[in-house]
Amino acid sequence: MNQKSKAINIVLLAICCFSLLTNISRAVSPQELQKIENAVPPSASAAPRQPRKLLVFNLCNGYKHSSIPYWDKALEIMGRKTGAFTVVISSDMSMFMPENLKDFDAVCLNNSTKLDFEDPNLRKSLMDFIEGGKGIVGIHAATDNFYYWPEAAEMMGGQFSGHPWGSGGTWAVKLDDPNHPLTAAFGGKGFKIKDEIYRTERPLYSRTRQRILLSLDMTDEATRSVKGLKPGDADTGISWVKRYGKGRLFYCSLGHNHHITWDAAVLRHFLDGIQFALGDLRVDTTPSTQKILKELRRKVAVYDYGQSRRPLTKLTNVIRDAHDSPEELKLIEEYLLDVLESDAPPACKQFICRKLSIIGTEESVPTLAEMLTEPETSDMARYALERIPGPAVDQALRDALDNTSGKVKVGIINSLGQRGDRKAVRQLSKLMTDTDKEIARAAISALGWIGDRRAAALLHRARSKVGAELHLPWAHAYLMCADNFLAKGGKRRAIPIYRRMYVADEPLSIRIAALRGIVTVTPEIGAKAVLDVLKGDDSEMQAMVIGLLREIPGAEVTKAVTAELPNLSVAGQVQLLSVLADRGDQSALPAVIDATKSPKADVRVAAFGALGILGDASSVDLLAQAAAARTGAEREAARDGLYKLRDPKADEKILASIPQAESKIKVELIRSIGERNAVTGVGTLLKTAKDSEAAVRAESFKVLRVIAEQKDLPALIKLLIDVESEAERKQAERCVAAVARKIADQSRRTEAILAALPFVKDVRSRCSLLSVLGKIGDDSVLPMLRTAVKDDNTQVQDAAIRALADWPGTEPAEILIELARSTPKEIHRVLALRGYIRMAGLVSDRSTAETLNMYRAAMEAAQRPEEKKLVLARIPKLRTVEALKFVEPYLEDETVKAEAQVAYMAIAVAIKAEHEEEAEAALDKIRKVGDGGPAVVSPGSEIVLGPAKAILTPPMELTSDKDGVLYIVVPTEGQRLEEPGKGGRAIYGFNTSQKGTLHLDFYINCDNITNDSWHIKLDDNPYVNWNDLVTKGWEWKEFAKEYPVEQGKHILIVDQREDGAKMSEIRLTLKE
Amino acid sequence: MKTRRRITRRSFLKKTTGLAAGAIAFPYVVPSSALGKAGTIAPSNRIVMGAIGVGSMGTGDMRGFLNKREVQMVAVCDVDKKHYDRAKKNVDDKYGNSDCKTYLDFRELLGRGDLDAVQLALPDQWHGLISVAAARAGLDIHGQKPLARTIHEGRAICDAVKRYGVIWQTGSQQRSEGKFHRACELVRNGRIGKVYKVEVGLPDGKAADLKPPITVPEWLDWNFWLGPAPWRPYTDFGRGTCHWDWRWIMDYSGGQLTDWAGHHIDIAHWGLGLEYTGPVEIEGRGVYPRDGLYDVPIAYKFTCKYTDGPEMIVANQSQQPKGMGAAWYGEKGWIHVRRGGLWAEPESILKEVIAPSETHLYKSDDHKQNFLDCVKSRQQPIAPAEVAHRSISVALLGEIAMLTERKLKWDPEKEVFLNDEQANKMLSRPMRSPWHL
Repeated sequence: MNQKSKAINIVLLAICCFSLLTNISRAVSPQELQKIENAVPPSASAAPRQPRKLLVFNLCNGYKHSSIPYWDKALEIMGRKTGAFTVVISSDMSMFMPENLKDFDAVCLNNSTKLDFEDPNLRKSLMDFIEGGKGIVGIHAATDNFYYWPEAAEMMGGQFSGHPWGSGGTWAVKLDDPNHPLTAAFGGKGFKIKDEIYRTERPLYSRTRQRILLSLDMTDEATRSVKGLKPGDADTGISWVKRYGKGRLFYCSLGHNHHITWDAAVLRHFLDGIQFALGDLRVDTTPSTQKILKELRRKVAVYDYGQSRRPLTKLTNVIRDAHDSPEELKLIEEYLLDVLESDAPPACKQFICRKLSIIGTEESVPTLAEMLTEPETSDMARYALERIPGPAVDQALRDALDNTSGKVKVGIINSLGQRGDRKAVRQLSKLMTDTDKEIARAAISALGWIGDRRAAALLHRARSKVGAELHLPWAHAYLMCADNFLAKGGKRRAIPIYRRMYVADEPLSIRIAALRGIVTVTPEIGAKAVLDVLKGDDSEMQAMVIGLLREIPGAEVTKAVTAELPNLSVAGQVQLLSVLADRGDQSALPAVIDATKSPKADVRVAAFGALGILGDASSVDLLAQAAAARTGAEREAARDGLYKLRDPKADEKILASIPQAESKIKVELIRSIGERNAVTGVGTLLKTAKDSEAAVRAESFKVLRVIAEQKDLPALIKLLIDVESEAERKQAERCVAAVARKIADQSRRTEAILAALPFVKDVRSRCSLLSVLGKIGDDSVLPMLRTAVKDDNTQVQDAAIRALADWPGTEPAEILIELARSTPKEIHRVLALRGYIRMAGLVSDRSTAETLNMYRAAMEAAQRPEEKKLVLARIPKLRTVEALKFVEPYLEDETVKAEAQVAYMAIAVAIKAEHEEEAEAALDKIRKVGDGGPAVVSPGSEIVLGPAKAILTPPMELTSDKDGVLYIVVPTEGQRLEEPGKGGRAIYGFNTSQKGTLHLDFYINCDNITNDSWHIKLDDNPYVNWNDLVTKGWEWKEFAKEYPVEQGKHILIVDQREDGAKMSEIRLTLKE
Repeated sequence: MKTRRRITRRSFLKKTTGLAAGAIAFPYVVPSSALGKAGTIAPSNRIVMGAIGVGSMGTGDMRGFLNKREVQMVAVCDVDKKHYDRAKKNVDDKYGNSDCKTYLDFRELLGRGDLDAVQLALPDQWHGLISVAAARAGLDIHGQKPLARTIHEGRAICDAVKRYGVIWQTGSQQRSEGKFHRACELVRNGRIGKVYKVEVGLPDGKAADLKPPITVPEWLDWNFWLGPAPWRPYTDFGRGTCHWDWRWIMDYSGGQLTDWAGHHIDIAHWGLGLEYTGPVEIEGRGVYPRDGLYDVPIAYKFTCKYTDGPEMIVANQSQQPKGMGAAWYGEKGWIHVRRGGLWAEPESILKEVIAPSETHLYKSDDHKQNFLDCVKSRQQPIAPAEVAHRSISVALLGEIAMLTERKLKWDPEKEVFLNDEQANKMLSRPMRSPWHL
C-alpha cells in the first residue's frame, strides 16, 4: 500500500469513526489494559517446543468490531506474559504471501470480516500453510468471512448467519466436553456470559466434522426464548477445534464485548486454543459425534434386558439431535448397522432396529433383510423395515415371502400391507387361499390395505374361495378397497363393491357398512334402501339403519321416513324420533306431534324430547299441558322440551298463554319462564303473584326471584305489602331481598325499600320491609333501623331488632350489644345478644383478642345460661391461652359447668402444640374438677352421645330430617376440606370410669361418595381421615380405630371433611 | 410411502360431525322390553355383554355394568387366568349361577355370535387391534381411554366404528359429571369472552429402578399380553406383576399424560368446541428418566396452537399455575374445573343461566347408562370415538414433540406432520407378527 492510499484510508476511517460513533476503534485505556494484564494467565499450559510466532490479522472488509484493539492487546500481553508466542499485528493482505507467512506458526483472525482472498496466490498460500501443518485461530467474527471461498469456509467449521443472542443479553453456555484439555479453563462447569453469540448453520457447522467444546445451553429459559430462532439453533456451537489437512483450527465465537478480554477463564480458553493451533498442546480432535459413538460402542453392544439403559438413552439423544444433518445421520446409520452385524444380544439388536426404523435408509436393507427371514429376529427387522422408505425395502420384503413360512411370513405380509406395496398384489393374492389360515388372513387384510384396482379385482375373485372362517376379514378388506376408491374420488369403482356387499346373506355389520357406502355415493338410492328396511320386519337392521339416517341429507328423505314413523315398533319409533330431532328438519313436526299422542309412554317421552328441539312457539301449549297432566319421565321430557324450545317467539307465546291457562298448566308455564330465564315475563308474573291459587302465587314468587331486576323492585314491594298469608309474606320478603341483592352498586340496594317505607303505614308491612333490609345487609340503613328499634310500636321494634340480629355482616354488633344491655324487653335483649354472639363468630379481620373481647362483653350482658352456653360453644375456635383463661371461671359456674369444661378441654387440646405448659396445666385442672360434667362410660355400660350434646362451630349445624332424626351436618357446597380444623367442627366431652380400650360407633347417613367423610380425633391422638362410608339411609358404622384410654375426661372432635355428611349419634363402649 | 397411511372415511366424517357435535342434546331412552333383536333374544331382552380385559379397570367397569338391570354379562376374557377367574366369580355371584364363560383369546369371545356389546379395558398397545375387531364384528363398545397408543390406530378405530355403525362410548366419564358439563357450557357460550388460553394440568410422572427379568407365572400368557408390542422378557413392572404399572413404559402407554388426556384435554376441547379437530403447531419439553425400568416422562409441558383457537398448554400439575384440571382464560375472566371443584373469575359467572337459544351441550349424568341408552336408541353417546381420538391425539402429538424436541407443524385434517418425515413415522408402530390392523 502506497502513502497516498494509506492517507485516503485514514481519511475514510476518520469519516467512519465520525459517523458511526458506536463503532469507534478507540484506544484501550490504561485502566482497561491493567485489567487485561491482570486477567491473562501467568503461564501457558504447555511449554512451547520452539519460539512461536502468531500473525494477528484484523482487516475488516465488512463490519468492524470495536473489540479488535482489545484483542490485539490481549494477545500481545498473553504472548509476552506466558512466553508462549510473540505476535505480529497486521491488516495488510500481503502478510499472506508465502514469503511472509513462512515465519509464522499460526494465523489468528481477530474479528476480521468479509475476507475472501480474491488473489488466487494468496488463497493457495494460506491453504498450503494450514494443510501443511500450521494453525489457524478465529475470534468471534472470524466466521464472518470466505463467502466466496468454500474451502476456507469449510475449514472454519461454520459461517456467520445472524446472532439472535445479542451483546446486551446474558446467555448460558454448556461444556460439551468437560474433560477436554481445552475446556479446563472453565473447571468442568457451564457458565453464563454477557456477549453476542453467532449462529453458524449446518452443513458447515457439523458435529461430525469438528469437536465442539462449548455451545449454548438451551435448558436455560432466557437463552431458549430469544426471538427469531430457527430449528437448527437447538445446537449452537460456540467453540470448537478441528484438523484440516495436517493443520489445526481453533475457533471461539466469544469476544464481541470488550470485557471478554479481561475475563480470565475465557482468556485461558483462548490461550489453550492458541497453543493447540501452534502445535504445542496436543488434544483429541475426533469430531464430537464420532467421539460419543465410539465411547458408547462397547456399552451399547452389550446391552441386555434389565440392564442400565443409560448408554441407549445417550445414543437416542445423539440421534435426536442429528435429525436435520443428513451427514451425521448417515454416519450414525453406518454405526448402528455395524453394531447390528456384531454378536450383540437380542435386546441390543432390538434397540438398534427401533432406531433404524426412524433414521434408516436403503443402506440398512441388506443387513435387515438377512434378519427378516430368521424367526428370532424377523419381528425386530420388520420393526425397522416397515417404516424405512424406498422400493428396496419392498423388494426385500417380497423376496423374503418365498423363503419363509408360518408366523415370519405372516409378519412380512402384514408389513407389505402396511406399506401399501402394489407390486406385491399378485404374490399376496395367491396366499389368500393358503392352507395356513393365519397366512391367508394376513394376505386378505394386506390386499385391503393396498386397496388398488387389482387388489379389489383379486379379492372379488377370491370371494368363494376364502371359506366361511375368513369371510369377515375378507369382507372387511373388500370394503376397504371401496372406501379407498371413494377417498380418492373414484365413486364409479366403489359403488359396485358396496352393491355386491349389500345382500341378505352378508352379516349385519357388513350390510350396514355397504349400505353406508351406498348412502354416501348415491344418497337417493341409499335413502330408498333405508326406507325399504324401515318397511320390512328386520328390527335389528332397522335400528342400525335408522342411525344411518343422520347422514343422508335432504327434506325429501325426512318426508319419506317420517311417513314410516307410525308403522315402526316402539323401539324403532323412539330411535327415529331421535333421528328426526337431530336432522332438525321442521317438516317432521306434525308427525312428532302425532307421536306425543301415542298409546305407548316411551314413544311419548321421545316425542316430547324431539318436540323440544324441532318445535316452535306453537308447541308451547302442548308441552305445558303434558307437563301438567303427565307424571314421571313423561313430565320431565315435556318440561325439558318446554325449556329447550329455541324459537325466539316461544317466550312470548308462554306469556300469552298464562292468563287463560288452568292452574296446573299455569304453574308449568311460570316455571318455564324461570328455567328459560325469560326476563320479559316479570310483568306477567307480577300479576300471577296475585292469582287466586296459592300454588300459582308461590311459583310466581319463586320465578320472580330469578328474573326480576332493580327496576321491578317498586312493583315487588307493592306485592309484598299486599300479601295476605304469613307464608306468602316470607316468600315475598325473600323475593324482594334476592332481587335487591342483585344490584351491583351496593349503595343502591336499599333505595327502593327506603323510598317505600315512609308511605307504608300497616305495621306488618313495615316489619316486612325492615326484615328485607336486614336480609340485604346494607350498612347505610343502620341508623334508620336504630331509630326503628325505638319505634312506638313493639312489633316494629321487634322487626328492627330481628333485622339487625340477622344482619349478614358484623356492622350492627355495637348496636346489638348496646340493646342487649339496655333494652327493656327481655325477648329483645335475648335476640340482640344472640345476634351479637353470632357476629363474634363470623369471619372478619378482627384480631382474636378483639373477638375475645366481644365474647367477654356478651358474657357480661348475658342474663341466662342459654346465651352463656352459646358463647362457650363458640369460644374454642379462638385457640389462645387468653381464651383458655377466659373460660376458666365458668368451670365453677353451676349453670354452664358442663359446657365450660368441654370448651376448656377443646382449647387446651388445640393449643397444646404451641403452649404445652398452659395446656397441660389446664388438662390437669379439668381432671380434678368434680363430676356433674359430661357423661361417663364404663365397661358394661355404654353411652350414646346425641347430636345435641355437641358443641358446634359453624358451618357445622344441628338439624333434623323429615323423620325427626336429629343430626349434625355442614350444608352441602360440594367442597372437601383436606385439612382438619379449617371448617365446621363438633366437640363432644365425656368421661371414662377407668383405663381401657374405647370403641366407637357412629350413626350416620351418607348417600354418595362426595359426602361420606370426616376428620375425627380423640384427645391428642392424630386425626383420622374417616372416608368411604356410603350408607343406605341411617346406619351404624364402626369407627376405623379403637383407642387405649386412661380414666378421666376425654374430648372427641369431629371436623368437617366432606360437607353433606350427616352424623347423628355416637355410641361409646369401654372394654377392660 | 407417504400415502401408505391412508385415511379412509374422511368424507363421511366431514358430513356428520356437524350433526354429532351440535344437535344431539336429548338422550332418548328405549326400554329394554321394547327391544326384540332378531335372532338374539337374550334373557329378559337384556343387552348381552362380554368383557375383554378384566384387571382393575375392567373389574370396575364390569361392576358398573353388572349393576345395570338391562345388561346380561355372559363372557369374560383376559390373558391372566386369575383375572378371568375372579371376573367369572363376580358375574356368577351376581346372577346366582355359573353360566359366565371365560376366554384367553379375545377372538374367540368376539366370535361367539350372541353378544350385543363389549367392554374393553386393556393395556394401550391392544386398544387399536381389539377395538377394530369388535367393531368389525358389529358389536357396540364401551372402551377405556386413551383411545389408542398411536394416532394411526386411533384413526383406524374411528373408521371402523363409523364403517360398521356401532356405538362407541369412551370411558371419559367426566363428561357425565355435572360440573364439567357446566364449565364447558359456560365457556362455549362466551361467559368468559373470547378464550385466548387454556391450561390442562395432569398428574406428575414417576421413575423406577431397573428390574431384572423373572420367570413368567403359570397363570399368565405373557406373549399374548405383549401382543403387537416388541418382545421383552417378563418383568415385575412395579407391584409384583406386569399389571397396572405397564403405564410407565412407552411400549404400552405414554404415562400420566396419555392416561389422563382422555379426561382433562377432552374437557378442554369440549369447552372450546375443538373436539373434532386438532392443533396446528406443537412444541414442548419432557423430562425423561435416563435410566431405570420406566421411560415415560416424569415431567412434561407442551404448547399447542389451534387455527382460530386459543393456545393450549398441557403439563403435569406441578408445572401448571392452577394444578390439575382444565382452566380456560378469556377476555372477561377464567373458569377452572377439576374433580375437586369448579371455580371462576368473576365468581358470578357460575350463577349464569344458559338461555334456550344458546348452545346446550349433550347432557348425561350416568356415563355407563348413557352408553346403554345409546345402544338401544342408536344415538351418538356423550364420548364418541372421534372425540376421544382428538383428545388423545393432543397427548400423542405432545409426546412426539417432546421426543423429537422440535416444533412440529400438524395438519389436523390429513393427520400428518408437515415437513418432518421422522415425526410422521412416529404416528404408527409396526406390530409383532401375527398382529395387524
